[in-house]
Amino acid sequence: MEATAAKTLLGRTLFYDPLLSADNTISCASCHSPYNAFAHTDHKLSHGIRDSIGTRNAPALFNLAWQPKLMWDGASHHLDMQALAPITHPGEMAESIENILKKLVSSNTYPPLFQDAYGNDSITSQRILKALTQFQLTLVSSNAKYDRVKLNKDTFTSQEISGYKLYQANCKLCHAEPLFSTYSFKNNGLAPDTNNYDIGRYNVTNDPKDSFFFKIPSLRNLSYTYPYMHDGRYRKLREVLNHYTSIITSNNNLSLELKNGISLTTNDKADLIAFLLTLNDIDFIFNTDNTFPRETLLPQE
Amino acid sequence: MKGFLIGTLVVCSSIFVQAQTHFKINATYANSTLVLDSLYDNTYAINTLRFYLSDIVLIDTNDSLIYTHPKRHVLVDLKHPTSQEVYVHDSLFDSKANLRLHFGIGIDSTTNSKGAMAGDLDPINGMYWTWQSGYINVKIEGTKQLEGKSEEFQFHLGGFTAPYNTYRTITRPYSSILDIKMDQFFEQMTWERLYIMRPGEEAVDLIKEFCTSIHSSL
Repeated sequence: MEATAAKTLLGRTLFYDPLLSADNTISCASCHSPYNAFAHTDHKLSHGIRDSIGTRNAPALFNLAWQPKLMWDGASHHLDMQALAPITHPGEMAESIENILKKLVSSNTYPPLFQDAYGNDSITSQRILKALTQFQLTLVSSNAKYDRVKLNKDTFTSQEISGYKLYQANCKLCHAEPLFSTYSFKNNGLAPDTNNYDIGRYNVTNDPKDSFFFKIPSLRNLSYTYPYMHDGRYRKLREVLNHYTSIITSNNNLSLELKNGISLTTNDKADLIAFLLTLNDIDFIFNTDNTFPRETLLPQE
Repeated sequence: MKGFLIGTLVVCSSIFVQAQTHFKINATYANSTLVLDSLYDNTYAINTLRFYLSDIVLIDTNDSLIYTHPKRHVLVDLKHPTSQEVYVHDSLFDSKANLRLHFGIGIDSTTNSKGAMAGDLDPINGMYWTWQSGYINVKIEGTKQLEGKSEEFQFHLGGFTAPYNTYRTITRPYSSILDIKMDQFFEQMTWERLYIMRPGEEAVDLIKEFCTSIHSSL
């Protein structure tokens, strides 16, 4: 196998392997499922080891190469190093890199995978982290109906065209095409969550101007990634639109784009949602290159 | 023949030893070498002192570069005394007089943005934050006696983005020993807190104070 493909397979195997957690129960895929565009549908907040509940909604993973900072608050500035956060967090995987190295070295599965990927079977944290990055960078979502329309391979319905215009008038500054996010950080007027009082990016920068700033998520694959927002407070797209039209909490740090409010009629909302659904990429969701690697993790079956 | 070969080898190896020298970066308390876990002034005991030296160079009086250390980043850990000895090539310069040693304390922002690395920069060394990405430039841990009670303190000093970039470069007259005067560090410490574990103004101040506590032992 060619080295890049071998590194991707190694990274994919690590991604789906609960060996990365202290009691071998939680893998990256536990909270980042391929069928949910690598988010965790139906869970407001992420679940971790020994039934612990996290503080944020596990974000979807796709098009990561275009994201300058990772996590809802941008605490991680490089995909290689991001994995250290969930691996070592006591409420997520509660494991240490040292111990993972021991487990990998003594497994039957991994030494040959490192051999194929790197030319020898030496197992280091650098190699683990780079392989995870390699796999995650292959998670590219670019074949939604919207993309096919842009390639003149499909056409929007009249309702979708109307929704596209509404998107361009109201949403595009933050959710810019074609990634459908600028991946910057904004305060979108959500009232502070009552459970965690999560101050978002302020916690990272120490700058009060960043109070309640969270990363703008992409609008791609929304049908697979509910619930929405950093704390998963909204289950339906209609609730999200209602937030922007009527329930924004005004505050000093509110994003300038939202200062004048957004107004949409009931019909507008239906049209906008019709357009947003053209951003669902079913080929990405069911791409078997991204799913559980039976060939390495369950080779006997 | 055999004797001749061994003789030659001995001569060669002694030349090799003479051709290299090192400076030692030493921690002191009240002018004595700091011993980990020892109580000083009935107040402080340090159990961990670990930090990065970066881009070590020697410059002469004309600011000409005389020597560049081959490793860009060196992790110094008082638990591993050999890590305190930093080799420099002696044969490249005739006299050590008037030479200056220039280096960074910590890891610069460019290196911080490179992703997973190995060796001294491996996150396994316990010098990388996990909850927020970035290297810990200086780690100082120990205990402080407060009103008859022993309290732990932990300073994990780092941060590579403005306005809290903690990477600093310093220049000192070349000497075979550099002392980090930990008594001076504690004395001039502007923050009373026992835990400083994240980028911010506290970390910036403490790293400055750590740097000013480093002296050439001339």
